Amino acid sequence: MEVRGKVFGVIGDKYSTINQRKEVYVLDHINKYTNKDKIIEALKMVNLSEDYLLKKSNNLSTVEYNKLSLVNSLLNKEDLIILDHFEKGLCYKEREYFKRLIRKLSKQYGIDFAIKTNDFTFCFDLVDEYDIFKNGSLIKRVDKKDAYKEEIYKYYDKHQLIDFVLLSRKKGYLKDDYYSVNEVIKAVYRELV
Amino acid sequence: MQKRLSIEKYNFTLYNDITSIIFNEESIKNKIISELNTKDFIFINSKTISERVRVSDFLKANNFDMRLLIKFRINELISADLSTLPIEDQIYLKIIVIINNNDEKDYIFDDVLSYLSEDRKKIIFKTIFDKNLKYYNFTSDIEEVIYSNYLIVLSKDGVAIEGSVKSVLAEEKLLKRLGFSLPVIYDLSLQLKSYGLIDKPYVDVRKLVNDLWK
Repeated sequence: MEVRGKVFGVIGDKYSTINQRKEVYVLDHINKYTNKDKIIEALKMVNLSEDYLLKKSNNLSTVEYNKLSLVNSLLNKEDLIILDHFEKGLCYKEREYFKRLIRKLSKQYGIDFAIKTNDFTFCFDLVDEYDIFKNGSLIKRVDKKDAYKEEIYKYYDKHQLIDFVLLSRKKGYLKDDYYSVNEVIKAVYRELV
Repeated sequence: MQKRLSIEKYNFTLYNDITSIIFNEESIKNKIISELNTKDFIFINSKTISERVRVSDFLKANNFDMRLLIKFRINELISADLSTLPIEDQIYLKIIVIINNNDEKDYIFDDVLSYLSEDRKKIIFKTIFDKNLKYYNFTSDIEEVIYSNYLIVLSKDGVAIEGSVKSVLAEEKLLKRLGFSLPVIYDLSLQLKSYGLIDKPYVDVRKLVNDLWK
C-alpha cells in the first residue's frame, strides 16, 4: 500500500481487515528506544506522563494500551498506523483532540492512518476516504463524500446523522448530503421557514 | 436490588433500573469499578482473548449450548481461531458465554458495549432481560445512554448529576462544561427546538423525523 499521508476508514466484511500488529508488551518496546527525549515527547502527544514507562504492559487499561501503541508506532516512524477502535474509552474532549492529532500527523509527516471502527461519528469528519476490504484485500477505494452511499454506511452502526437525513428524504426533504449537525440545521431551517 | 455506593467523593445509588454511568476521565471509572464488590456483580470489560483456540472449542469449554449458535448469530464464526478475530467479535463471544452461564447476578459493563453492533447489543439485552437481570453500563460513549433509563454523570469532583436520562440530558450546559458531548440526535433536536421547529428534544431518530416533518 503506497504512503499517501491520508486518513482512511477501513471497512469490509466481518472477517476481513488489514492485519494489525499486536504489540502485547508495548512498554518493553518503547523502553528499548535510546532517545528518551523523543519518548517523552511522544508520550506528551498522547496525554501520558513519563511515569508510564515504569508500568507493566499487562497492567494497562485499554485506553492506555492504545495510546502507548500509538507512541510505539510513532517512535518506530511507521508510514502506516492502524487504529483499531482507538476511540473506545476516550471521553469526548480526548476524541476531538486525537482527531486533530491524527490529521496533523497525517498532513505534517505524511503518515497514513487506517481507522477501523464501528463508530461513524468518530471517523465521519476525520477520514479522507474509505478503503473497502474483502478477505484481506483492498477491493475498492471511495471518497469520503460517498459516505451516504449504502456500500459505505452499511458497515457502520452509529451514523445517526445519515439516518436522519435518509429518513427525511423518504418524506421528501433534505435532498443533499450533510456532514455536520450545523449543516443539517441550516438545511432544515431552509426547508421549513 | 438497590445498592448504595460510597467511594471517596463518589456517593450514588445503583437503583433497580438500567443505568448508564458516564465519566470524563478513565481513572474515575477505574477507581469506582475496582471498589465494586465482585460478589454482587458480573464484570465484563473489553480485554480480548489472547489464547489460540477455535471458537467452537472456546464455546464448548465454557458450557455454551451449541444449539444457540443461530440465535446468537455466531454459526459462521465457529471454525475461526478466536485470537485472530476482530475485537468486536471476540468481545461479543466473551459476553454471550458469560450471560448464558449466569442466572443470578446483574452486570457491570466496563466500557465495552460500544464495540458491538446495534443488532448484537439487542441480542445481549434481550438475553439479560429474559433472565430478569439488569446491567449498569459504565461508558465513555454518550450515545450509549439512550439504552438506559437512569443516568449518572461522574466528574473529578464527584457525582455531577443523576436522574432519568431525559432530565440529565436537559442539563446541556452543565454537561458541556464538564466536557461531555450530547447524543447526536438529541443535540440536533435540541437545536431544532431552539428554532421553534419542534416542541421537545428526542433521542430516537425516527420519532424526531416524524415530529419534524409531520
